[in-house]
Amino acid sequence: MAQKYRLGIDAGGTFTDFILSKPDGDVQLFKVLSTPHDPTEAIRNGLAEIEARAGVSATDLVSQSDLCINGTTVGLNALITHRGAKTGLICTKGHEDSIEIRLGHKEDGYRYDPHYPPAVMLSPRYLRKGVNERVISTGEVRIPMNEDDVRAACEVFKKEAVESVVVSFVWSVLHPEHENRAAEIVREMLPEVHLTVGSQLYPQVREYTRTSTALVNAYLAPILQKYVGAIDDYFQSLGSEKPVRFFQSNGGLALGETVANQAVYAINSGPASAPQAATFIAEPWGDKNIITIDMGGTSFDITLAHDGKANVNKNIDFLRYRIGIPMIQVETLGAGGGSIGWIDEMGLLQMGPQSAGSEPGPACYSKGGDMPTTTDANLVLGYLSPEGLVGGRLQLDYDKAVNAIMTHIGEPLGLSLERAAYGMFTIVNNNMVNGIRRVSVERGYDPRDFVLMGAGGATGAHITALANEIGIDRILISKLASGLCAYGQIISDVKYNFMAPAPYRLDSENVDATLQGLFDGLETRGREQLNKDGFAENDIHITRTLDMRYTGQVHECTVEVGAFDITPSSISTLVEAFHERHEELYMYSERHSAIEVVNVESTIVGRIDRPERMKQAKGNGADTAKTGSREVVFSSDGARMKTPIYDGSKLGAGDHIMGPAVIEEETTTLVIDPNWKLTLTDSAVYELTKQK
Amino acid sequence: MTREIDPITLQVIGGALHSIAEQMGNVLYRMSYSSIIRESQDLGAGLFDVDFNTLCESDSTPMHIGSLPGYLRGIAETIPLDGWAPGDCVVHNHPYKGASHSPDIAVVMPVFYKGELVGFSANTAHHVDIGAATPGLIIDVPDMWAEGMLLDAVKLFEGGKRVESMWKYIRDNTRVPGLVMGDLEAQIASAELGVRRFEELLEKYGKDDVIASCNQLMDYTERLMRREIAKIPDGEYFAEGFLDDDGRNRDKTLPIKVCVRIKGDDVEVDLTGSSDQVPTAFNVPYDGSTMVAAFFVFRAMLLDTYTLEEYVPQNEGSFRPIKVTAPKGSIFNPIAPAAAEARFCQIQRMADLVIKALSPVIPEKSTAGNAATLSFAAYSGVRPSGDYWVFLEVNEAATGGRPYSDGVDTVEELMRNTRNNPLEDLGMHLPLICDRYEIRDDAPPGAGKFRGGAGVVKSQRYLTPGFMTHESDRHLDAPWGAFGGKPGAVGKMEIYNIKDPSNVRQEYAKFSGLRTEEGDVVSYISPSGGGFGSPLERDTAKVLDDVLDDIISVDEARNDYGVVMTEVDDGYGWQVDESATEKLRASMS
Repeated sequence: MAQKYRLGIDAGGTFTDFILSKPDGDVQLFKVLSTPHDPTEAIRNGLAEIEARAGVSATDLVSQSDLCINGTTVGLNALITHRGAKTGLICTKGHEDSIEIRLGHKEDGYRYDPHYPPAVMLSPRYLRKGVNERVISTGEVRIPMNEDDVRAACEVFKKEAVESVVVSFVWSVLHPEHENRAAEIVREMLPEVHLTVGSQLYPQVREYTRTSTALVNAYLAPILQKYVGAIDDYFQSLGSEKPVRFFQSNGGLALGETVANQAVYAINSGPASAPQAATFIAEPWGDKNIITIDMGGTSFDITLAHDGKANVNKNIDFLRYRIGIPMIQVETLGAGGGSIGWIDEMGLLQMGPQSAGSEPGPACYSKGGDMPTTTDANLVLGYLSPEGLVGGRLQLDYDKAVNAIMTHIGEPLGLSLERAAYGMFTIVNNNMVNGIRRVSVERGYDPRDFVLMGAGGATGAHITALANEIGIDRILISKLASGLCAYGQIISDVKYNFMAPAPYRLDSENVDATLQGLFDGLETRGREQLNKDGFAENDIHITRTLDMRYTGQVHECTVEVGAFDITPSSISTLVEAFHERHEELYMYSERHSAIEVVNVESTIVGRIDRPERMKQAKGNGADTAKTGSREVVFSSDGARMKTPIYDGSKLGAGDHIMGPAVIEEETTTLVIDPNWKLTLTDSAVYELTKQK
Repeated sequence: MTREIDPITLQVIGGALHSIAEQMGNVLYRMSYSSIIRESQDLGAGLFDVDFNTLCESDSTPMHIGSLPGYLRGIAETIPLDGWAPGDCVVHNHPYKGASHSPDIAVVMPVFYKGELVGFSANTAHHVDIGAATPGLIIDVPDMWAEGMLLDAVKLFEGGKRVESMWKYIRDNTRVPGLVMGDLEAQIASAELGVRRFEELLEKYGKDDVIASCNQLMDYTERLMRREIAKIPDGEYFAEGFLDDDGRNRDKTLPIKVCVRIKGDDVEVDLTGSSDQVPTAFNVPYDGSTMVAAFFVFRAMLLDTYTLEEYVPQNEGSFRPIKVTAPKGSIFNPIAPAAAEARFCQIQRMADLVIKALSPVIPEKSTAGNAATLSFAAYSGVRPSGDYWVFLEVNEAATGGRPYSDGVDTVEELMRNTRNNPLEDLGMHLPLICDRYEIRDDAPPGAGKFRGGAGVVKSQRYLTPGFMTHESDRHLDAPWGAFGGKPGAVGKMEIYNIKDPSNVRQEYAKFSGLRTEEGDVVSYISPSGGGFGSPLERDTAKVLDDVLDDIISVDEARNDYGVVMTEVDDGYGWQVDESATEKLRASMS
C-alpha cells in the first residue's frame, strides 16, 4: 500500500500536539493533555483522539505513514528536576572542579550573596576523578597519561554503581589519544555504563564548555535511551516499518539511537522547529527574514530566521548548565495568557513573572483564580469571546474578569475598567517587544526588516499591537499556528553536526589544505552516517561554519559558508565573509587585521521530501463568515469601538477583511487593529498588512 | 517637570530605558578585544540627565554601577554644559575628578533633542594597560603620574570629526595598542547606540514626559530604599578589621573602621579611624570608588533583585539616602597626587564590615565574613618580536556562611562579578599553562551550621620569562564567623619552579613587577568564608558530604562539628556514626 500519512508529535508542557498530513494537502491538528509521568501515554491518547475524530486507527495510521516524528521534553524535564543518571567524571588532574567553578561569577539577577543559590552539580565532587596527564595548546604531550589513575576511578565508580561516565581532558581535542585510551579502560572495567567522551561528542576548543556539555549528555543519555526504546517499540507494535525520527534542538531530525547517545542534542527540541515551520509557511511570499513568536499560557518563545536560516546559538547557559553544541536560539520570557497583573508597593503596574498557569488559571476560567491575568484583560477588551475558547469547550466568565481587574488594578490606580485592562495589555506587550528587540538587535538585525509569524494559541490577540510597537508592517499566521512546532517537525530534514578544532590563522602556510582536510574528514563521516540512514547522495546537503575572530580578540563569531573547495584563492572568500559578518554584528570591521579560525563545523543534512502545502478552498467573501459584533478597545483612552466578529472556519481563500476586526478560530483568536488588512490565502495562511 | 505621568506610561518608559542600558552593555562587551571586558565584563553603561543623574544603567559589574555620575561631574570641571556639541565624544579617567580608578576609562557622548542638550550616553570599561610604571597593574608607585595616561575630559571626536592627534597619543602610550584601541572603538559604538535610542525615546514620548518619567522613577527607587532603611532600628553600629600592608611597608597593617549610623530612613557610613592614606597606589578614589562602594552595599543588601518582588529601576534614587564620610587624607579619601589605582581590596572589606556592623540588627540579611578581597593578577612579558603581551586575570574567592544556606564556593563575592577566562583560549595566545584550577581543600572553610564557602586555587605556569604584578590582601585577618560560626581561612600566594617543586616560596598578597623565570608556577589560594551559626547544629548528612568531597577531613568533622565518621567499603569510604555523634555533640555544647 502506498504511503499516505506523515505524523508529527510535539510534547509540550501542557499539551501534546499532533499534526497529521495527508498527501492531498489536508493537514489536521489534534491536541491532548501532556502526561509528563509517562510521555507514551499522551501519544496513545492522541492516536485514540485521531481515530475518534479522523477515523483512522492507530495501526492503519502508523503502518501507512512514511514518517513519524517525535519532539520530546523528556531530557528537559530530567534536567529541570535533577533526575538524571548517577554520573562520574574522569578529567585532567587539577581541573576536577572546573564544572563547579563554572564562569566564576554570579549569574544575571543575582548581585548579592545571601541568597545566591549555587547550581546543582550533575556529578558531585567525590565522583570527579583527576588523572595525571597533560597536553598543551600545541597538542604536545607534557605529561603522559597515568592509566592507574583511570583504573582507580573506575574502581570507585563500580562500587558506587555509577550509571554514566564522562571522560574529558584539557586540550584533548588536539590529542585525543589520552581520552581514547581512558575510554577503552572504562569500557573494559565498566561495560554496562553509558560512556561520553568529550572530544568525540563536542570536539571544540574550550575545556569547561566541552566537559560541561559532555556531562549534561551523560546525565541524560540513559534516560533518553529508555524513552526512545519505549517509543520505538510502541510504534513497531503498531506496524511501523521505519524507525521513529526524533527532533533535536539543532532544528533537525535524528534516529533514536543517535538521540540516545547524543542526548544533549534533544534537550530543548520543542520550540526549535518553529523557524523551520515559519520559513516553509512564508515561502510562497519569498520571505526569508522571519521572527516567530509563540505565546502560550505561561511563556512566550521568540525564534528568528534570517535569510532563511534559523538563529543558532552555541555556548549558552541552559538551565544554568553550559552547553556548547549548536541549538536553535529560543528566547523564552515569562509572559503568557496566565501572567498576573499586580500593583507593587510603590504603585507601578507589573505583569508577571508570576503566572496563574492553567490551574487555577485566569479569573475568568472560574477555576478558583482571583488574580487578573492577560487573558482576563483580553476578555474585557473584547478581544476574546465571552462564549469561550477552544470552540466553546472552555467558557469564560466576564464578570469574574471585571472583578479581578477592578479589585487589583483599576481601583488601586484610580483607572476605569477599560484603561486598566488596556494598561495590562500594554505592559505585557512591552515586555514581549523588549524580548524581540533583544533577539534581533543583538544579532545585528533590525526587527523592522522582518515579517512577524504568529504561533501558539494566545499570540493572535496581541500580534498586530506588537507589530505596531516594533514597526513591522507584515504578519503571517497559519491556520495551524497553535500547533506550529509539530508542523515544523514534519517538514524538517535529518541533521547532524560534525565539528573539529581548528586553531589556525588564515594567513598561515597551507591553511587551505589543512581546513579542506578537516572538512573532508567531517563530511566523509557525515555522508557515511546518512548513507546508513538510507539517504542517496543527491539528497545530502552540506553547509560549513567557521568560528573566526581577529587575532587578539577573545571571542569569535560564527560564519556560514558553502561547501566549496578551500584553495589558496578561496581563502579570500573566507576572509571577506568574516569581515562582512563582523560588520553586521558589531558595526565595524578591521580590514587590515589578521584573522584566525578557532573551530570548524560541517552541518550534514539529509533532505526529506516536504509534504504537500496545506490548501484552503476559495471563499465566498468575508461577509458570509460574519457572526456579529462586539465593543472592542484599541487605544489607551479605553474608548470602545463597534467591531465585527468573524468565524475563521467560514473564511476561504481570497477573503479579506479591514481592521478593526476579530477572527475567531477553534484554538485561537486574531485581533486585527484598525489600519491592518487581513487576507486568507490559498495555503491557509492569514496575511496581515499594515495600511499606510 | 512636576506633571504626574500615568503608571502605564511610566512603566513603559522605565522598561525602554532598562532595555537601552542592557543593549549598550551588550554591544560594549561583545565588541571588545580584551578578555577583561569581553569575558570578565568589567564595564558599565547607561544614560544620564544634564544634572548627571543616572537614568538607567546596565546590569554589569557592581563596582561600575553608580560610578559614571562622578566622571560626568569631573568632566564638567573642564567642559561646561554649553561646551558640548552634537557628535562630541570625550574620554576621561582622572582619579581625582570622579574616575573609579585610572584604568577605567569613560567614554561620554552628549544627547541633543531639538538642538538642546538633554543628557549623556556614557560607559566605562577597564583597560588592559594605560602605560603605567608596570604592565597592567601597579602597586608600589609614588604618585598618580606613575599610573599611566591621565585623560582629563579629552575629546576624541569634536562635532563628529576625529581628533587624530589624540588617537595617536593614546595608541603611543599603551603597551598593547591593539587591545586598547579596539576596546575604545567598542565603547564608542556602545555610547552611539545609547545616543540613538535615547533620541528615539524622546522623539516618541516627548522630552517632558521622558524627563518627568525619569524623575518619577528615581523617586520611586529612593522610596523603596528608604522603606528598607527605615526597617533597621536607629542607632550606631561598628565593625573593624585590618588589611595586610600597603604593598611596600610590609610590617605595617592598615586598620579599617566602619560606623553605620541609621536615623529614620537615612544612613551614614562613617569611615573615620581607618588608616591614613598610604605612599603606594593602595588608596581609594573617594568620588569614584568609596562612595560607589557604600551605595552598592546598601543597594545589594536591601534591594537585591533576587529577594524583592518589585522590579527596582537602576538609577540615582537608591543613592540619595546614603551619606559617606571619610576624612581627607585617609585611605578612603586620599589627597592628590597620591596614587589610587589599587583600590578594590579596601572597598571589599569596607562592604563586608558594613554587613558585619549591621548583622546584629538584620541577621537575615547578613552573612558571616566573606573572603572580601580581590586577586587581580597581571601576567606579562615581551615576545621575541618585541611586542608586549599583557593578561589581566581576576580570581574567584568565596562568600561567608549565610542565614539559610552554606557560603558559595569559588565565586566572585560582594562588589565584584566578573567572569573567568577559558583556559584553552589563553593557551592559544599566551605563554602560560594553567596547572590547577580547583576548589580549595588544603584548609577547611569556616565551620558553622552553614559553613563558609571554600576558596579557589589557581596555578599559572610561565613558559617564558616575564613579569607579574598582583593586587590582593587578606593573608592575615581571617573572615569572621557569625552567630557561633568559626572563622574562615586566610589566603596564600605560593611560587615554585617546576625544576624544583619542593622549594615553595611564600609571597605577599601584593607585589609589583616581579620578574618570573621559565617554569615558574604562581599559585593563588583565596581566603575561604566564615561559618554562620554553631557547627554543632549542622546537618550530619552535609558534614558527610563535605568529608566525601574532601572539603573537610574526618578529624575536622569530629573536632569542629562533633560528627563521628566510621569507615565503610561502599565506594564512599565513610558514613556517620549517629549515636556516637549525638554523644559527642552533647559533650561539646
